[in-house]
Amino acid sequence: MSSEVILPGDPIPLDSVIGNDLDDSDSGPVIQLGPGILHIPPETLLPIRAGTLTTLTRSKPPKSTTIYVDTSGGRYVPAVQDTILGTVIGRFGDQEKSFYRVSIPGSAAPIGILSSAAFANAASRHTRPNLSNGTTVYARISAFSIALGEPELECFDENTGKEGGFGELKGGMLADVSIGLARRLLAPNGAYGGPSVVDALGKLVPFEIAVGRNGRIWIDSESCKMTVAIITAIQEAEELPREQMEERVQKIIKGARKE
Amino acid sequence: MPRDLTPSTIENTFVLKALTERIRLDSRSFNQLRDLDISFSSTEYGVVDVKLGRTRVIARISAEITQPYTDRPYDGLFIISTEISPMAAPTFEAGRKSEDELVISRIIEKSIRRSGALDTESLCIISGEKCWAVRADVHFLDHDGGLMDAACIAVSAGLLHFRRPDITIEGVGSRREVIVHPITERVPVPLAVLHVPVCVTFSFFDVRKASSAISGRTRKDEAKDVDEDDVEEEEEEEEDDSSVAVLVDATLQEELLRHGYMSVTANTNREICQIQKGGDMPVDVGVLLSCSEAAIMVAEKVTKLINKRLKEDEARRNVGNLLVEARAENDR
Repeated sequence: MSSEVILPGDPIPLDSVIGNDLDDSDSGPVIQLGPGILHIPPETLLPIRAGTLTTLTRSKPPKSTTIYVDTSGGRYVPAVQDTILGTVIGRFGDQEKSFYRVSIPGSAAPIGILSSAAFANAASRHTRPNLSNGTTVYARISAFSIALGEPELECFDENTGKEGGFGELKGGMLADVSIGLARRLLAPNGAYGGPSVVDALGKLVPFEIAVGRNGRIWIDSESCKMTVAIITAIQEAEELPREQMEERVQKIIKGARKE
Repeated sequence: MPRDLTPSTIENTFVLKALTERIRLDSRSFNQLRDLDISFSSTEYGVVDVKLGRTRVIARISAEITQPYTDRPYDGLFIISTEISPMAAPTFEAGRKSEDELVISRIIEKSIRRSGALDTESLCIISGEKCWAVRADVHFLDHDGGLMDAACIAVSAGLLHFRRPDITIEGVGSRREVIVHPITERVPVPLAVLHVPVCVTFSFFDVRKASSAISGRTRKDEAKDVDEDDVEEEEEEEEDDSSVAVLVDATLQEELLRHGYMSVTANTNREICQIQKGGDMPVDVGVLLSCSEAAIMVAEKVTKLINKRLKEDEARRNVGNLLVEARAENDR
């Protein structure tokens, strides 16, 4: 895992990116290209976006290195298995089979379809949740293609079939973050080197968080004031280097505690 | 297929609850403006970039010579174009005016053009034949609430910053000729700006609705919360003696959730140029008066900032004081 700032047209320092880890394999280094990098055959690689050049190395065989340009801007493009935060804005279908229309703020496909049967324990029509307009749901995109148009959503854990944190969110507050930050918050621990802002906050104050890949987060904590402080801390932390981030987070939380 | 942003119940409940505790989401006080930044183009006259928090607006002033309207031979033309593109927010559609957009362009029109900020008579060159047509193009780049406030500041500052080319009229009677001197040849002339209108939008929240918004959902456990909230709020009300929270310079989230708003345009002469009230919430006379007073205070502050930035820009352009020496109105 390494990263450096790169601009469109810059040469990609392939040697430093790949390192020596992969040289011992028989077939030579395998590089996978992610978003923001253009491959001009036979072997020219050109960044076409400004951002941080990020490499992810897979140590288990088959060994490979993924390189991509990480940017924090742009609009969210739905992808299967992404978790999103949406708002119920309507309902259609009959009693047997009804669907919710869910607005996905910040998304290129602004409306998703959520079946009322796509919840945990929703086998019977009587145990299905009854969501009113304006309800916020934490959902997973189960199917999407450009041709399909509207992403299909599900509100249960795919592996266990249980709730797993999905479904209606009650209380707390929603806030906007950049989709880059949302991605970073959802990345496995340490993927971006060192503790994240959530870890720093977790040491100071108990709170609940749900992160939608569409650039929305949901926070709930002990009081209004603390929730506002946590949201501020997360939003501000995006543009701070790690050392300053922890300091700033501590200051914000202390400020909220004082009064 | 862009849609209007629909605020969720969570946001609605939380914002109202926070307001009863006198907390805003960005930790501002109720009457505090966001960070305002005004910068002028280094190459062109009349191009202003205004940042109000995360809202960003660019205004460009331009002028050309045309024929005046036949019924107003002594008046020049002044047009403000405020088209909102999807660049500002995906909810705006290109080429189709939404209701919000109409309100915004209407308020800016009233604030600046109809309040007579620009003396259109000074734009007359030859009565009934030639006049200046001044045009203000407003581009909305980023939308985080307060579009009209930012646009009004941008146009006002742009008019102050703009310089039109100097002209001379030669000949007599029907053989008069207008000579336009390019700005590289003669020092360009500022516009006759009579006052600097600044628009301030106040957002009203009926904090009594905080309880009704929660009770809108008919659940038993929540009904219990409502009772507790009601008790708290009654105590609050006795302290504050008002059930209305008045916020200055709302963010987009606050704009979507507010129950009513009022845009007041004022200037440093303590004149109110226009008032527009929207939303379905009645407002007391007292609130209206205090808003007007607050708008004048903001106008003074913003005008001060505009003048400061203008002075800085002037100092940067006017190296060696040559522009002052070469001004057209000096004796030759």
